[in-house]
This record gives sequence, structure tokens and C-alpha cells, in this order.
Amino acid sequence: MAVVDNTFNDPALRAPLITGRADLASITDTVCEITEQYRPPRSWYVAFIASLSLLGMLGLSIIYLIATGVGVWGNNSPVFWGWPIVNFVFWVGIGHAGTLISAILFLFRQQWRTSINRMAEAMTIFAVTCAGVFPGIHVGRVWLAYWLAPYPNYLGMWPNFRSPLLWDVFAVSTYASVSALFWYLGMIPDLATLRDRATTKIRKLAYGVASLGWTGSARAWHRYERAYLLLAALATPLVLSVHSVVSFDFAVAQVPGWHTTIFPPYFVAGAIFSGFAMVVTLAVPARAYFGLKNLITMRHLENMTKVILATSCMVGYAYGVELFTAWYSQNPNETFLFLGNRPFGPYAPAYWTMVTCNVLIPQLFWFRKCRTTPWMMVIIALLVNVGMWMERFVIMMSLTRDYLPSSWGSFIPTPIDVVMLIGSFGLFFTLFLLFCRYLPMVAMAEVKTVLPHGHQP
Amino acid sequence: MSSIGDQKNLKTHWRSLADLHDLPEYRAFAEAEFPETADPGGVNRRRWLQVMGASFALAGVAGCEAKREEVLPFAKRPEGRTPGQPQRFATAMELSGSAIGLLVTSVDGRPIKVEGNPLHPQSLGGSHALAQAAVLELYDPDRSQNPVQLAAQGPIVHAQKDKWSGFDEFVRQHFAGVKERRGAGLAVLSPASSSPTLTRLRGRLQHELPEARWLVYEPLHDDSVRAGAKLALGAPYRTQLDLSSARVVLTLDADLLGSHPASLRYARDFARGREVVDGQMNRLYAVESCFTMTGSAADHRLPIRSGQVPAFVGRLLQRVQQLLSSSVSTPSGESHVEKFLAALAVDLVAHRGAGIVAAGDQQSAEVHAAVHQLNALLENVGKTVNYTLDPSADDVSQVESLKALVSDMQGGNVDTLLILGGNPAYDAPADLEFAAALQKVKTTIHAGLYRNETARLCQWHVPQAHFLESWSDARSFDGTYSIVQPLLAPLYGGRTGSELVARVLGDAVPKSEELVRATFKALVGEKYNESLWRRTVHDGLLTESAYPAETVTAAREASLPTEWSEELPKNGALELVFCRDASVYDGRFANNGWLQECPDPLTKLTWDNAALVGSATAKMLGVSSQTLATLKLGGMLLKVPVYVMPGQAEGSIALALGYGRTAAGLVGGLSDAEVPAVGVNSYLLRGSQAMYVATGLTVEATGESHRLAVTQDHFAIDKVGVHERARRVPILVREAPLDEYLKHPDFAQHVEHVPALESMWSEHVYEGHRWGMSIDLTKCIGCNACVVACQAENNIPVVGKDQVLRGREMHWIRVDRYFKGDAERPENVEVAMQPLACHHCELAPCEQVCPVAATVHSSEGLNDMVYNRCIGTRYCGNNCPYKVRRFNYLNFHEELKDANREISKMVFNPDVTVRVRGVMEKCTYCVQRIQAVKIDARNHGRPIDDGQVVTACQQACPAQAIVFGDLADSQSQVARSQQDSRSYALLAELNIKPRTTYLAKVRNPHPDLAEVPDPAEVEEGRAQH
Amino acid sequence: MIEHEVQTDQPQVLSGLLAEFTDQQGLLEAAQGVREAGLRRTDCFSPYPVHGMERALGIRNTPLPWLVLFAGFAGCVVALLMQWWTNAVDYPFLISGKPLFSLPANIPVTFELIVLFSAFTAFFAVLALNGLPRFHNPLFQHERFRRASSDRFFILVEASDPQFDAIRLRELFQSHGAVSVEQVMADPTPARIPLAVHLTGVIVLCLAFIPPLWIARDRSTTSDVPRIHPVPDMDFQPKFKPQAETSLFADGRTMRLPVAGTIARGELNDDEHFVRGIVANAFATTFPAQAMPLDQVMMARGRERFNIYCATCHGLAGDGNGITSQRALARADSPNWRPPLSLHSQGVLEMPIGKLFFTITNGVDRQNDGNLSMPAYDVQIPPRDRWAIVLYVLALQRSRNAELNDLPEGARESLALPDIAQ
Repeated sequence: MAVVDNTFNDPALRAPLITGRADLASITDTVCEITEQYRPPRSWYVAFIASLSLLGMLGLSIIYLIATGVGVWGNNSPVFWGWPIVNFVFWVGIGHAGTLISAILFLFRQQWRTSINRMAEAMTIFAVTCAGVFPGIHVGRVWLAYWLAPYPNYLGMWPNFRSPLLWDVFAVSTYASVSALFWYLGMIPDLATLRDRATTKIRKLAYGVASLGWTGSARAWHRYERAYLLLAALATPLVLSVHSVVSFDFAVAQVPGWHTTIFPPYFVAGAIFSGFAMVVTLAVPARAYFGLKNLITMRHLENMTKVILATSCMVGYAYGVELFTAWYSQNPNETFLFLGNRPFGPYAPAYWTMVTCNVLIPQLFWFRKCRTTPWMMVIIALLVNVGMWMERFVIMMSLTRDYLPSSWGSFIPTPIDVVMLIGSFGLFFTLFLLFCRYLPMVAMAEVKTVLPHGHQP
Repeated sequence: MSSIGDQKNLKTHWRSLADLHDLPEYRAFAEAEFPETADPGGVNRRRWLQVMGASFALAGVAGCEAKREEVLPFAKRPEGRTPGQPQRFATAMELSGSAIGLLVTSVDGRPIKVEGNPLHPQSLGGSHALAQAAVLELYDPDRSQNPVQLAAQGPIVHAQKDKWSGFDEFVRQHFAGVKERRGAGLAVLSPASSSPTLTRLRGRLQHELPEARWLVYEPLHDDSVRAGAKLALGAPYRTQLDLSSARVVLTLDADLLGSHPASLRYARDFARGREVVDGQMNRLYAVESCFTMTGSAADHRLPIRSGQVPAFVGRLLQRVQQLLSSSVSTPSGESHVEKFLAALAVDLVAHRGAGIVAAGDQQSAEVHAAVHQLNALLENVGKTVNYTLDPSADDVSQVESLKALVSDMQGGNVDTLLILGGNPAYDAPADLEFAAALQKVKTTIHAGLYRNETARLCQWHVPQAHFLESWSDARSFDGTYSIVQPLLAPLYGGRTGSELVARVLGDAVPKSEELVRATFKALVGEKYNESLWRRTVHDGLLTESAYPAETVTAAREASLPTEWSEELPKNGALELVFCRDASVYDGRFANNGWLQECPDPLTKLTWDNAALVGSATAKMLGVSSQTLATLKLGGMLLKVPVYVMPGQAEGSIALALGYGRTAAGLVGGLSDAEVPAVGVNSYLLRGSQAMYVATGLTVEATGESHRLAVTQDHFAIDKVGVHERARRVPILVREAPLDEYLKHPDFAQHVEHVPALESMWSEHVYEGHRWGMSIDLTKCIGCNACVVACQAENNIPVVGKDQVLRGREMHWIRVDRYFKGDAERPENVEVAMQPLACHHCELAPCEQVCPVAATVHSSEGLNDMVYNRCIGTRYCGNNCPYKVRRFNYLNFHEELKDANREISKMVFNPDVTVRVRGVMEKCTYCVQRIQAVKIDARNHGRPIDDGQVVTACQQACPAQAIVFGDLADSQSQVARSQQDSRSYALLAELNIKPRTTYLAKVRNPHPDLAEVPDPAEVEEGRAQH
Repeated sequence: MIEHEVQTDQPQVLSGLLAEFTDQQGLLEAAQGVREAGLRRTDCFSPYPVHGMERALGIRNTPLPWLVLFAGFAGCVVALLMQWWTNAVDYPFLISGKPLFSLPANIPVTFELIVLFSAFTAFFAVLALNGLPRFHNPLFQHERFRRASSDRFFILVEASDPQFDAIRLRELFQSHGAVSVEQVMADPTPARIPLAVHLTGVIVLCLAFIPPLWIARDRSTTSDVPRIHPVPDMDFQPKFKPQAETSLFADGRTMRLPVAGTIARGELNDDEHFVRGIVANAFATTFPAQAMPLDQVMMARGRERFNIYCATCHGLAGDGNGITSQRALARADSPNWRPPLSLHSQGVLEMPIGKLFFTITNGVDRQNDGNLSMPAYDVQIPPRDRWAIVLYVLALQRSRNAELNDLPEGARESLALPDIAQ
């Protein structure tokens, strides 16, 4: 079918959000057929096996870690936190786009969100899962990690609520559970659709149970919309708070390069930035591969690239302000770290990679060509993710040079560090592939609401 | 960079021995060396293998089964002993012929901590790292445990119940024959010893076996010192210095505060002389080739090649004579050396009678003679410099006598060689080829703590008793007589040297206590009675037993060269200086993990020795730190890693002795068990002609490189960092010349100004004790005694080179060493030392970030670390601005799961938790000691007086730089020194209110030489390495 | 225009009439019409929320927002109370010199809990209000109704509605262009969940209770079995504790005996008088210098030590009737028990104080058969305390035969003199 260009910006006429033969049935079919094929294409298997084996590597390295001790990483003194925390922050950040698309754009009545929010939310949950792995195994005595929870124990003592790490525990777990609820609530009507189309017994049972007996009754819809709105209204401040709290881990500490008030907004912007990049990286291949070009249209992609461009500028601004504050404060430790050590110190390459990938390269999106050429978007998006990982790495490396030159050190990752980073991607893609196979990738019910109604057969 | 699991990588470093267990060689070795003292009837190997298996099991699973702990009390408790209550015993440690007095803490009959004997004039309570580490050596499982006899089919280990029977039988038969020959063909080779008992027996031996010969060899001998004294004074007098009353001190390659036998006393006296009393303090000039602790403490340090020292002294002598004859000083030349000489001469002459000139072991007899002459000229003799008779009977050169012995051995004129300790096969001059000569001797007997390189070549090796488990006696450098009393019965049934000699002389069953008592009787004469003996044993010394001062004067005119050349010797004509290593001494402590891991005071190097090269020389040679270079000297080759050392005399290369051991043990290197040697064996380059200073050295870079495990400024330091460091150092280590201090006594308060600090909260008010510490940077000489003392007191693990390379060393207290000045101009380089442990901040940043409240404040203001609550998030480590927190990244006590190492558990302080992996740890202000004092005070219902609570670091410090006590008591020493005008808090601008503060350093430069080093450009120099 | 019934075997009753439309317009109009016709028990079904339907069906606003608001408040209160009680009340810590409770540090957690509580309430409330999960619904029996979740629109009027009239309704629907109208039948007996489900539910529930009960029991009871250490960590440290055992030495003890002849610092004990109570080979008759001054403090110390070490045999008053002795005498199986002397017996009264001290130090062997009647206390009691005990013993003895004028002035009146007179 011909792909219509819906990326024009003529205020006079509203660009269609859904192209091609856009009626209720066809939408249902396009989305459901993906999950209803008897067996997935071979390429799906290939991808799945690959990511599964990466996941296996992660599992093995975790066992080795627990058996041997966190010394298997490159962490040392003064760099007590190394890659694991970098990965944690990276993944938590990725998560944010999902909630943003589903919640914030919903509050702003951005109807184009409907085609991508399901995928984005799924990505959120999987990213948060990956993120959750790292702090868990990061502690020196993994078997006691549960002491972080405020539960009555035989020591008779409680966790210390002054610690940003404890805030983290609450923030991330709340975030994970709320996004899961939000995702599931949104999926109930679509699961009902799958249930009603189900042919085999297993699918009937599975989707039947999952859809909780949804009928689409008007009263149900009424309450449902209310609940959805409320959850969106709750998720919006939540998503902002989560990365702020994550940034507190650094901002509240007094390590030069960590102790800055700009961190919360700057982290949130960065999170959304990297999140959207990840959505693009996933959506472009997915729409091509599963024939969703009419639902996830070029306009959707373009809008996302615009968000990336905007957040990239925010991040760039934050970098600038960091330098300015350091210079303006005339705090020698700060000045050294921001104006000396980061751009010209031992980890300068990481710093400049970060600047290039996060600030310079996204500027390409000023060109319409780049905004509308899928392969370009993907490349840029990938680079953005590299850049964002580097950003967290650069921040972490502030530890190498704090107050006393005598205790300055350096950080060299071990193979285990590398394996765990790669392995976390394995976990992510394993989950995502399963999602593509068994769950509706596009929120059908929501897409249907944005159809130009009337022309029904 | 390889992962921990990488066996190959692990093999090359000391670490948990778990991965060795599978080697057949190791198993064989382990079985041979298995402690007979463990389960009677030999070890039951089953258990051993079980435990070994366990050590492989996942750390978590190890002790899963429920475990019952037995309680085994004494049937009849020894008097004065309460289980778990420490007792202290006075004893003495001898090193190369002079002893220091010790007071050893023992818990339940197990010595666990060595301290200086406060009553002993040569230690005054202080001690050095080597003494502190003695307990680890005592409990070293690698120590020799059984007599070993060399047979055709290999070594026979006499490990049965009466393991000595075989040897005793052999001795009886063999020495019967020797007696008949009146000792002909018998030679006894012993390390230098001041033990009157051994001297007495030696006399007996030489009387009963007149044909026999007895010679002494120490790799770090003082031949030239005695030769010099003989030259100048007619007899080998020993020089005693009084640094407390000296105003001007000149050291020529002499490390008075570091390696000198009397260094503890000297350090104390020197420190006292640093206290500014009515505007005066002493001034120290150091002229030396490689940086010593003395050099780092000096007000002026002139780095020249050791080979230049004679000329320097010659010129100094000239100037001094001129000044004394016609009190007009000759105009100083332009060169720095000329200026230095001029100022120095004037200073020395100005302080006649209150000066000291001292030269080191590596300087020639001529120089020493000249030094005696100088001291005489300057009227120091009798005041700050005194002479006493040298106790060592033979004033002959050790090297010469050893040469003679070896040639006789080659000639087959020696048929019995008895080696009483020492390790000549390893540390004798290379050109003598001692090992080869040893093969020519029919009967060779070696006694020693370890079955070392020499022992393995001898027909018989017998285990010697450690000084902490044997009765003996010794004299300190000033002659003070001490009785060495044992802390426990010999663990491996070893015997003392005296016992062996007595047996050789035919005594049936010599008891070392009786031997010592007999000597004591003879020594004190009719004054002897039981209570005097008991008093001496109890005090650890005999009062008034120091050598009396002799009145002698330097008769002879020294003849020294005076021509001076500035130019740098070419490659091939370089100078190589062999120096004593601060950690392993001459190699005897190579198997001591504490010492191996103790960073060198100046290079901060652990687990290695390196060729120290000045920066200009390094450029010339095209080498830099960590490049592996080939040292060529007189046809001998040695591959040594290079360390570019600021302040090293250009053209002179320093190389520490004592590494590259192949039969030290599982720590220091053991070829039998495939444990590679630590460092390189520099004895291979050391010929009998040039025992300390050799010239004609060629250095070539091999292109390979070798990673050196340093605990400070790892070499990859870039320009930006270098600039910043240079900017910060003066703020961190605050110092001023004397005159400025006199003008502004509170200069330390004005080094840096920060806005008024305000807390968001009304701060906590402490009732009761407020513990605090104050460290005087003017006194600290960076000797590391505190570091090892802390390690011993607090059960701090040894992590091994691999982990140090990863930056995971565990020392709770470290001594930060900063260079100042221009590395391109060695004479301009200064060193600042700063001991650093947990500061126990009142507003501790580490506490608020711990999610599980594992580090909290005590009611007395201690920053407590709750090990069993810690889950290891390591957030506190990040947030500590001093980076004094240490994390157990791995289980650093893994090797203790091996039953073979059971004995090393005896060294642990039962009052301190032994931490596991995954737990954060740090300095606790020795909370166990605080508690002990508090409990005692409560039991006796008396208050705690100032100075009763003594932390391990404070106790060990020979210079008394560390003061600890209760800040709540405004009259306490610590409170007063924190109110001192020099007192400042490190990083006070963070408003963390540290309980530890520093007293700023005051230097006393000579006005003519005072130059302000510009740190910025300095460190440039370092940057290029 | 299709029409057909749903065939089912069991007898069913008409539960309503279901009409199908192809677009939302028809549905809305039909809904309107039905409402105008006065029917109330109606509901519509659509693949997506059809706007305007609320008005058309007259759906009242849901109380959901209020529930969520309340939950939010609850979360806030719970969070603040938890943080205040745990950190400031139940187990207060001095951390970084900060106050025990300070709002700023507690805002993040409070915020998160507000969101958490509200979100969960919103989710579960909407399910509850919609009566979900509900897996049995008569509509599901209708093949056509399956398209309700895809592309068709349905309206249902329940037969229970008073105005219900199948004929009229059918016409009404058709007038609004219904593509089909069906009767919805439901069997009158309410759907029953199969027994198996019940059973499994119950079993799972029971099993779920076991672990918490187990934990509760183990926490409340004590046990003489050493506890199991899944991860021993620092429970067993390689260090040697007092009186512990080791495989290292034949006697299995970690404690070693001192070497004969060695003297610990402070234990020189060469003052015969002080440590043995002997002066010039005779028992001392005076207190040594180190025991001075003989004041109230010394006496109090002596009394304390006496009551700890001596009273068990000699009795608090020194009559030789301590509880140990009494028990030993009472028991038949201790024939060779040697009852302690009364400290007021003539022999003891005549002892020089040096002898008293010597006895405490070395014990006594009255039968001279090598078995001590009284053990030596040299190990347990340091010399100065032994002297304190001696002092107290003297006081005890004196207290038995004191003259009136031994008492200080003023104290005499306090005694009831008549008793003495008798």
C-alpha cells in the first residue's frame, strides 16, 4: 500500500495520523495479526536466540560476581561506584520516554502518541527491569540487600531515611510498579480484542484471563477513562521525581562534579532525551518489520525527532551552565573538575564523545531530510544513546579526582564490567521480543479514537 | 587488565593461595612443611583436604552447617592471667648487631602486638615498622619447622615426635671428631650479634677449639664506619650522637632517622629539637644521593652522587678550617653547591659544640675519618658527639674475612661450616660465588627461621627459634643490656643460636635461659641476686649498662679530594647505590606480608624494588617510570623496573636490596611452589669491591615495561592534574619557614580563607568524652611505624600486589607524601609528609548517605563503623573527602581456610573484628583500646587521666608526632595542641568538623639558602614522566 | 436483516435484547431513542469510548477521583509517620550531627508513597467499580458480540426493565439501523465456580500461611540448637577468642601457658610484704605501704570483695555458714566436704594479719593431705584487694567483741543499750 506523506505542516488542514485503509477492522487486523501468526518468522527466532544468549551471559557473570565478590569489577578506592551504577542510571533514564509519551503527552492531548505509547511503555518497563538488576547486585553483601527495606528485623533497627540511596529504593520501585499498572490498564481493552479473536484454547484462556472479562460497556469505558486520566496525572510528576531522586544520589553527595543543584532538571531532560532515542531505535525497525507503517507513520517519527532535538538542546544548555557555574562560583575544586579535568583530564575522550553525541549530532534534526529518513534517525538515535551512557560515565569519573591529590585514582573496567553491560541489553531485547510476539504492540482502542470517524464501510 | 579470576595473572602475585592448592608441587611442599604441632600423629590429611575443598566452595556456602564452639578453660589458671585480658612483656629485638627494647602485648599467652619499651633509652616507647611486623613473622606458616637433612635422594624431613634426635646424634658424633682436631677445618659464620651470651660462647668455642674460626657477615655491614674510626681515632670506636642538644646537623648519606640502628632515639631527639623554643629550632642539612627519611625531614637537602661526597667533605673541611683560622669566610661561588657549602660551613662554625656531622655506611673510611676530624674541629666531641668502645670483638672487615673463608672453602680447607642464621648464599657478594664454594664443604649446617636459599644447599638445616619465643640477651646501639624473654614456647620447637653453639661445645641439654642467666651473672658480678635478675627481666633492660663514653680525639689529617665537577656522568659511567630497603631490610623480611605491602616512605612502592633514577638522568637514558631496563655492571646483567624519583641525585641510581628471593616463602617467593619472587635480586650486581657504591653502570631500556604497585600518584598523571596538585599541596600541608612562623604564629589560619561556615541545624552537644587527635607535621618523618602498627592492632588484611595495582590497599592510616619544588632541579625538591586516617568528622558526610545506618556517631563523637550492619553500598566511601574508607572487595582472608595457614590466625587481635568481603572499614580511633581503658577505670572507680588512652599509631610513633585524647578536658595534651596557633583542620571549608587536626610544619632554612620553590613549574617536571 | 436465536440445551430465560450497529452514530441515536422510550436498564458496548454516550445513557459521574485523593492523603500520613517513628523514636541515631527528624530529608519518600498509594487505588478501584474480573458473561455466548471489541457497536436492554417490550424495542432498534437484533438468554441459576478452583484456592492460601507462621514461631521461641548460618560472614572469625579451641596444638587450646620464668610488666611482685604477707620470714603484723591508706574506701572495697569471693563459704558475717557450705553439708553425697572455719573462731582471731593474707593467697590444707580445704585466691584476687579483704575480716571480728567506748561519740546513743545490759 502506498505510504502517504503526512508530515506537512499546513495549519489549514489537519494531517491524518493514520494513513492507508484506516477503518476499525483493518486497524484491529494489522495489530492482531502480528501476534496471531501460527509461528513467528525465522528472523524473530534469530534475534531472540541472540538476545537470550546475551541474557545468559549476564546471568553467569552475576553468579560469578556473587560467588567471588564485587572485586570482579574494576571498582576501587576512590572509584567506589563504577560501571554498574552508570548502567543503572542509563537504563532508568531510557525508561522515562515511555511514561512521558503515555502520560504527559496524554495530558497534553497529543493524539499522535496513541500509535507509539504502548511500545514506549513496554520499553519503560523493560528498561526499569534492566536498571533494577544493577543496584541489587551492586552491594557488597548481596544476600543482605533486603536490609534496605523498612521491615522489623532482629537487629531491631531501621534503614536511614536521610540516605538518597533509600529514596532511590522507594522511587524506582514505585516507578516500576506504577508504570506496570498504567501499561496493563491501557492494555485491557486490546487484550479483550485478542481474546475475542482467539481461536486456540490456550490463547482463549490466556487472553481471557488477562483481559479480566472486559466487555467495552459504556459505563466501564466511562470509569476507565477517568482512571486512565488519574494514572496519567500521577505518573507525570512521578516520572519527573524518579530521575530527580536518581540525580540526588550524586547531587546530595559532596564530591566535586556531583554536588550541583542543576542535576535534577538536567537528569530528567537527559532521561527523556535518551528515552526518545531508544523509542526511535525500536520503532523504526518494528514498524518496517511488522508492517505498522500506517499506524506508526512518518509524522510520528518526525515528532519524536523533534522532541529529541529539543531535549538535546536542553542537555547542551545544562552542560554549558555546569561550566558557567563552576567558573562563576570560583570554587577551586569545581573549577578544576569542570574546566580542567573533564575536558582535558584522563577521561577527556569520554567527555568529548558525550558532547558530540548529545549536543552536536542531534542538531542534524534541524534538517527535514534527517527527520524523515528512517535510517538516519536510527543512526543518530544510537549515537545519542552512546552519548548518554558516556554522560553518566563522565559523571561517575568525578570520583577519580576529588579533594586530596594523594588519593586520586583511576578506573579500568574488567571484562566482567563489559559483559554485564552487554548482558543487560540481552535482558532488554529478550523482553521486548517477547512483547512483540505476544502482546498488542499498538494501543488499538486508543488509535481507533483518533480515526476521522464517519467513513465506515 | 585481566579479571580477578585470571589464574595466570594471580599466580604472579601474593594473594589467597586457593589457586595454588591444585599444584602437585605445592601439595608436596605443604606436606613436607606441615606443622608437627598441629594434631599429634601428623596432620590428618583428610581434614586438610576437606578444608582445602571448602576454600574452593562458594564463599557463601562455606560454613552452612550449624557449628558448636567448645570452651576450653585452664584447669589451673596462671597467676595474674584473666582470659582475654592482655599482658605485656618486656623483650628486645636485635637487628644487625644492635637491639631495641620492646614491650610485647600478649593475649592468652599469644603475642599479638609489638610496642616500644618506654623504659628503654633507645626506643623510649617508639618502634619501627620492622619491629611492629615481628609478630607476623613469628606466626608465619612458611617458617622452618623441622630439621631437614640433605641426602642423595633429596631432603629428609625429620618431622617425627622427637625430631631433634637425628640432628643431636649427628652433632655428637661429628663434633667429637672436630674436637680431636682442635677445631681445625671448622668455621662458624654468624650474622652480627650483640648478644653477650653468644659472645661468651664464642669465646668458649675459640678457647676449646683454637683452630676453629668464627666470622661475622652482615650484608648491610658497617665495615667502613669502623675502618674510618680506626683510621681517625686509632680504634674502632662507635659514635654516639645527641640530637636533642644539637642545633645544626649535617648528614652525609647517613639516614639517622630511618635506617640507623639508633634511629628511634635519634628521631625522638630530633623531633624534640624541632620544637620552637624561644625562637630557636635545630637545622638539618642532608647531603645524599637517594632520598632518605632524613633527607625528607631536612631543611636543606643537597642531592649529589655518593661518589661526590668525599670531594664535598674535602671542600667543607677546607672552608671550616679557613673559617676557624681566619674567621673570614671565602666568598661563595655561583653554583648551588658552593652556596650550600658556604652557608653550611658558616652555620657549623657558628654553632660550634652544638653541631653534628655524620656519615653513612656507604661512605668510605676516609670520609668517616674526615667526619671525625670535622667534629673534633667543631668542638662537638664530648658534647653532641661521643665515642664508646665498639663491642664487636673483631674489628676486621666482614667482607675481607668472608672472602678469606670462601677462598678456603674453595681450597677445601674448611670441612665443617656452621651457619648461625643469615643467608650468605643469597646475600654474599656476587663475585665470591658463595653458593658454589658451599658445595666444596663436606659438612654444612644451617640454622635459621626459614629454610632459605642457603639452607637448601646445606647438609643440615635446623629451625631456629624466633626472638619472641626464645631466651636471649642483646645490647642496643648505646650498649644498654636487655634480656630477651620469650612470649611463648617455640611454636615449631626451634632452638636459639646459643643453644646450638653450646651443643656443639658438648653441653648435654643446654637451656637457653640458663645460658643467659650465666652470662648475666658474669656481667653484673657480685651485684647479682635473684631480685636484680627478676627486675632486669621485668624492665627489659639493665639500668646504667650503656657503654661509658671514651675520651678520644681525631689525631689524623684526612686526605680527601677537593676538585669538584658538576657534569653529569655518561651512560656507562653511572653510579649505582645499593640501599637498605625500608620494608624487607636486607631480604630477611621478604616473606612478611605487612612489610611487603607497606609503601616505601618516599616512593610509595609496594611489592617491588625499582631502580630510582633522577628525572634528567631518565631523560638522558630514555627511560621513564615502569619501563623495564637492563642494568649492566662489570659484566653482570639485571633487568630492573625504573622509577623516576624527584630529588634523586642525577647520574646516581639507587637500587634497594633484599628482593628477588626464591626460597623466602609463599609470600616473598618460593620456586618449589612456583610462587615467583617479589622484585629483583639486586645482590647479583653487588660485588665485594663495591658493596654499597659502584660506578661504571650502563642502563638500557629493554622496551618491555613492568607495572609497579604504588599507593600514591599512579604514573599516568596528566598536566592538568599536575597543576592542580601543585596548587593544592600548600593548602593541604601547610608550612612556613621559622622566621615567618615567629612573625605570624597563626600563619596556618591564613593559608586559605573560606566564608563563615554555618550549619543548617543546631549542632549536637557532646556530654562526656570528646575524643580527638592532633598530628604534628613538623615532627612526622613518614617512617610508616604507624601504618604497620595499625595493621597489627586492627587485623588489617594484606591484599597483594594485584589488588594494590587496582587501588584496593586496606591500610587504615596512610602517610601522604607530596613533592614540592622543581623536579628538574633535584636540589630544589622538598617533601611533605602527612599521616592520614579517619578524621571522625562531627558532621560526617559518610553517615548521612548510608541507607542502612551502618556508620553512625557514638555519644563520644566517634564515627563508628558497624561491620555486621554494613551491606556494602560503598556510598560512604564516595562521600568521604579524605578517602580513608577501605572496602573489602574480596575475601582477603581466604587463605586462612587452608588448615596449613591455621597458625597465622594467632596473630589476630581478639578484640577487633576480622572483616569479611563486602564490608566497609576504616580507622576507629582504636575504639577497643578506648573501651579497655574505660572499663578498667570504671572497675577501679577512678576517672580516665589524659594520656591513658593511647592509639596504636600514636604509641608506635618514634617522633611522638601523634597526640590523642579527650577534647572535653581543656587541659589534655590534645586539647592544648588543637588550640595551638599552628593547628588547622584539613578541608575545613567543607564544614565537616573533623576531630583530627594538624599542626602546621615549620622549617628552618638557612637565610642564605632559603628559596621559595615554585610548585607550579615543579610538578611540570614530574608530569613528563 | 437477519434474525436468529441462540440455541442452548438447558432451559434459559430471556435476559435482554441485544442490537448491533456498524457505526457509533447509529448506536448513539439508538441509545437516545431507548432512553426517550423511558427504558433505563440499558448498556452500550463499543471498541473504544464513544463520546456523548454518558449523556445518551445518563451515566452518573464516578466517585473514583475522591477515592484516589483519599489514598493520596493516606500515603502522605503513612510515609511521614513511618519515617518519624523509625528514625526518631524507635531507634534514634546520631547521624552526621543532623536532627533525628527533619522534613527536607523525608520529602522524597513521602512523595513516592503518595503516588504509590494513589496509583494502586486508582487501578484497583476502577476494576472493582466495573465489577472486574468477571469471566462469565452471557454476552460472550454471542458469536457476533465478539466484534464489539473490534469494529461493531452494540446496545443491550435488559428484560428486567419495567418498560421492557421485546416487540417495540426491536422496531425501535431497526428504525435506527441495527444490523441485527438478538435475544440474550441466561440460565437462571447463577454461574458457579468449579470446586477444583475453590480447593486450589484454599490450599494455596493455607500454604501461604506456613512461612510467616514458621518465622513467627522461631522468633518467639528459644532453641538450644545453634542457629544455622546460610552465609556465615562474620559469625565465625578466624581470630582466636579466649578459651576457644584449635587444631593447632595437642591440648586443643588457643590459650598458651606463659614460659616459666618470664615476668609480665607490672607483675614483678618482689615486695614480699605486699604480695605474700611475709616480712623477714615471718607473717606480717602490719599492712604494707601499697595497701595504704586504710580508709572507708578500702573498707568498702574489702566488704564488696569479701561478699563476692568469701561469703559463699564463710557466710556474710564470717560464721562459716555460707550457702555453699550449707548445701554441701545438707547433701549426703559430699562426705569429704570440709566445712569452712568461722572467722570468729579462736584460731582465726589469733592469726597475724600476714597469715590471713597468706591464707587467702595460697589457700589452706588443714588435713595436710595435699587437698586444699580452701583454694588459693592468688589468681582471682589482686594483692591490694586481698589486703582490703583482710581489713574487712578484721572489722568483722572486731564487730563481735567491741567495747561500747570503741564507738565514736554520738554513735553510742544509737545503740539500744538495755539489750547489752541484759
